Amino acid sequence: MAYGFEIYNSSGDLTVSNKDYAVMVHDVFQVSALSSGTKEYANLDWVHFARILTSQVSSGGASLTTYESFNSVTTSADFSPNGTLTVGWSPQHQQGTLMPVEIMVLVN
Amino acid sequence: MSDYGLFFGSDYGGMVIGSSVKSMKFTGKASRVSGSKYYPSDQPGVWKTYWYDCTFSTGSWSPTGTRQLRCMGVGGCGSVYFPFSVGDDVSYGKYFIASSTSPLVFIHSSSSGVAANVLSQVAVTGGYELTTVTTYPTGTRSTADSYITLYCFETVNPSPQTGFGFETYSASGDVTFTDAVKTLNVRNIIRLNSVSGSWGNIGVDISTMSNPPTELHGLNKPAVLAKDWGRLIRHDYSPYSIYTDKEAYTNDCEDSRDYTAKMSKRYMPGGVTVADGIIDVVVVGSDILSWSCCHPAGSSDSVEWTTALPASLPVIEGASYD
Repeated sequence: MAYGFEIYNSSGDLTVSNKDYAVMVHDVFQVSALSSGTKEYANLDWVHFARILTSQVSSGGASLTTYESFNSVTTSADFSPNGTLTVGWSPQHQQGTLMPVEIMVLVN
Repeated sequence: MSDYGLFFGSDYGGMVIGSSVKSMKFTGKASRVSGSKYYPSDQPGVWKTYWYDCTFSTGSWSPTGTRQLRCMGVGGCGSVYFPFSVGDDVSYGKYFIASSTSPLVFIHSSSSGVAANVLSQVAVTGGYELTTVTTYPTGTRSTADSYITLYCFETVNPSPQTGFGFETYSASGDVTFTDAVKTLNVRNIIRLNSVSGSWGNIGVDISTMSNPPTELHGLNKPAVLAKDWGRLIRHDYSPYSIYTDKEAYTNDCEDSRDYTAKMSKRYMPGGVTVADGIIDVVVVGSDILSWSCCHPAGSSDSVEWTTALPASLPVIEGASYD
């Protein structure tokens, strides 16, 4: 290769290189679908891509017919000039059984 | 990056390996939980009775796949029946993946007419159970699931590997990258943006990265992130007035008021498919009738989004993980 980096595993297969594009997890936490809040992450001036992922988390006894339950929060992601990422959430939709919502902060 | 640590960059921007954030590793393909399929169209119809005091009573009836509304005020202010059918084009199911942390799920469909999404997840013994919704052309329910593959990823194990190889560690000593596992490699990112919609039209604009690592038409088994969907995306209220009551019964339907039944459509993304580089957002649309208490006759609510857009959906090459 002309430049960059390549990493091979013990089988000789290329595992990762500078030609790849990754998505990594910076944080995962759960909130109530009825809650509002913010969370700050410092020293992220290198971040090229941020994606806030949400998912309803069913309780253990939830059956398939609970598809009529939809719990969600609205999220926001704001970067300050000093590289601080502020993730915010607020109630968006609550239908059926109240279930928590998981928030996953993905970065690249 | 911050004051210390390791950073391996990508030609396309951002980080490929970093000591401060956890990489994702391929966990495996989720397996279908036996006997978990559920078809809304097989369920009994639902009726709701609307009373003069704006309360409902609910029950079920036959045949399946239909719904009915009645207005029954005290003393009989009138009634209306409006059945409609739920199409044989949606199923719900459960998949299991042995994962120690909350999984990222990418779904590949080998049929452009079939799409699936993850609605919710629950931690169970040994992993996670994923509730999915699958949409398919009417009449193909028996084969629809055979077209779907769920590729799952989780964060790398925090414990160091033995032997040799390459690993990075966070400030707390956890492994954040190791060459001992197959890591998540994103090939492009689909962006969904909100545009103006209308009755029956959800209004979504689709674009991809302007600097894509891989063109989508070059992927053999494109799989799209299928999480973040356990919610409605749009809720339309029709402008149609189905029933207006203005009977002159005392103590009945408050004859000084008009009662207007509204039909609403609730849309949910049934999945995103990529075939020959063409992206489709497959939408499940549900017709739901609801009575609006004291709603002025002939008026309607505006179309509104209930999901924040834009959304960004990473795409992977599923064939790399087969």
